[in-house]
Amino acid sequence: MFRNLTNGLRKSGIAGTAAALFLLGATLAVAGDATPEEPLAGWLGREYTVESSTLNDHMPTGGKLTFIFDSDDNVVRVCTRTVQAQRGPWRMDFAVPCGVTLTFTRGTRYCTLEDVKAGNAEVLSSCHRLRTRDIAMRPAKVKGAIELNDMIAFLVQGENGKHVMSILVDSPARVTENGQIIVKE
Amino acid sequence: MRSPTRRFIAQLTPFAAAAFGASLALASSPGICVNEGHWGPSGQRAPPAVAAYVDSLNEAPFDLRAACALWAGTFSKRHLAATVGQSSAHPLAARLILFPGPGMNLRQLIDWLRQTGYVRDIERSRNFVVAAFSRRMPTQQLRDLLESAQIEYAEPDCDGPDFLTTSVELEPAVTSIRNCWQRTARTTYPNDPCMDDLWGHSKIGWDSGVAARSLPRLVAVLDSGIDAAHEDLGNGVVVRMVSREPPHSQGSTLNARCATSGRCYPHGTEMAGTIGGRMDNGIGVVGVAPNSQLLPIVISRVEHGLLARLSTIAEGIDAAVLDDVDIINISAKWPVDSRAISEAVSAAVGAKDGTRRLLVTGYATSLDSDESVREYFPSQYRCLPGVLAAVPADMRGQDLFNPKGRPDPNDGRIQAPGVDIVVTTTENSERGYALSGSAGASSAAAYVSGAVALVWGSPPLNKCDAQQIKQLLFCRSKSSTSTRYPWVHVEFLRELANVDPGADCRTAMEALGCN
Repeated sequence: MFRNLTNGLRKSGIAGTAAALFLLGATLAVAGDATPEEPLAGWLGREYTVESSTLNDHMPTGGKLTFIFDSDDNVVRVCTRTVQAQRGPWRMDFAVPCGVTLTFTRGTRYCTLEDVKAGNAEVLSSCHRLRTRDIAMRPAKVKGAIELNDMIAFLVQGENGKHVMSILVDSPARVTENGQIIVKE
Repeated sequence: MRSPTRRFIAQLTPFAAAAFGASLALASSPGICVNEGHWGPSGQRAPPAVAAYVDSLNEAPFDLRAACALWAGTFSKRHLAATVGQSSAHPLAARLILFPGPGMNLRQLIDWLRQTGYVRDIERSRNFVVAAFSRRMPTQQLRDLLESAQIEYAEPDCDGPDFLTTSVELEPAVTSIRNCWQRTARTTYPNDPCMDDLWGHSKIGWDSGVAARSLPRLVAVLDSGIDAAHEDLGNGVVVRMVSREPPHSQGSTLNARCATSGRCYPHGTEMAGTIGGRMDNGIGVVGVAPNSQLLPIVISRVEHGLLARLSTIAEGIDAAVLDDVDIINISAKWPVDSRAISEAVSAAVGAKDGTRRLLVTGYATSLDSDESVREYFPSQYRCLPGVLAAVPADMRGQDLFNPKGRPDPNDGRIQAPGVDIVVTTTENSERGYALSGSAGASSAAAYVSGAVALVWGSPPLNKCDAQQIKQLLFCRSKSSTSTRYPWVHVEFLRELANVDPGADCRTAMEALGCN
């Protein structure tokens, strides 16, 4: 009985090691070959223009940005480009080349621009979206403070098959509601 | 000598401990929801996150901004790093809302506080005092003070920037798509040129004939002030000659500067137009209740619409009560359960029965960091019968229909137009009209406030109490296939043509099928 148990342990030890190595290899393979989820794929690699904004200073109207999938970290990177026509420079975290990363949350549908304008989180929680936490989009205006935002970019299917994103920048203590930035292909 | 790493860790400890407290605090119900409108959490002397923060400070200086952010649950690792780097140079001294201990009145509390020698300024409110402490006050002294029998409960008197997040700034002039203020008057009744753009009015069954016959109700607009010189609002704005806020308080200063001047942030004027913009005057919009009277009470700082202090909001609600308003509209949100505001709300609406007046706010939510839905305040106070939370929606092109059963008014949430609303704007933005960029729950709240004023002003429903009006709103609300909550709908007011104007409320409600 003791011998059987030992053998059993040895067997299971070898099998366990093999399984662990297999899983490790599989994990590494998956990590190396991460691919964007299907609802997101169409929005990647395209250059968008900041079309409109109800916010000042956070993103310059006319500025260009591209969402690139980083398969190593399984995140989406925002790469900005400055053009002559844009209203002000990219600032803070967006001034760092491809420095802002977003993670994808798969919903059950694409939001509309109106959904995002209404800003009801119960509705928005069902939408495909990208999110980043605690990014600085402009210098703080309050002495000694740092202005950080959670930025949520909702994927929106535009007219004529165009890809659009409606970006929500939230603030918890105001008389108004959320600010919205719309970027279009 | 401590290494830099140890020193850094030592500095982090208070924030880590307090952040844990904050996460616990965020999960709980509002204090007035657990005890029938009375402040509930017995035994607590401060918000748990704030208490944990103060306890763990050791000798480090108290920083109001950090305390507020921890209380709000908006304190992140990156804030932490920034705070550790900066706050020792610029800590914001304690400014606290203090409730007197048992057997002590406000006067005695003020005298006692003055004896400490560390109080720079004291304001007295209805049921609390606001004490601004000196930056020189040792943290241990502050800790002793908060644990003393003279103080029952203390909370930081935070304002918008104190929550350590973005100060989002709307552009001063939201570009109008249709420029309807430049159009000439319509040839049909009502002749207001923006009437055709008010999609929400037709969606909620609004009728100009009904609106014209409605009696004025007094609506307090707790916001950034109202431009009383605006031609589309002018004679509907109540100009208060005497400030109801405590003298020398932030509220009295803001009201003196902004309440009716139109020189401050335009949001309040926008909400005022949706609630009570004049009808058939040949310009601009029509409010849902165009005969209503609008009382501006300022609760936001002048710049960018950021909220004023919590104590200012509480005092603003108290001021609305002193002015005996019927409806309080608060198109604003904040992230913390303030006892000062809770008790003001509870006193304003009548905690248990909610018969005196209704408080309408937006159902303000956000997707929290963990992707859960977070509901802000004052929306969470919809646990009280006198509080309504307006859920913003876009319903163009979709039909509303009568629900199979009656929706539950106890939930307090009711759907209303909240997207692409044409609003009045102040002289900051050419004193015209514009599409509200992303007003969301703000506009929805204004729509519901207008609907409440319209229903309550339509005889014989003017004899009803606040709860009967709320009951009617839910009873005659409509449903849609795509939205979750009942839609506010006022088409039923046409049926009042068949009801004796001298009838009492109960008879009228029976005639409307809502007894």
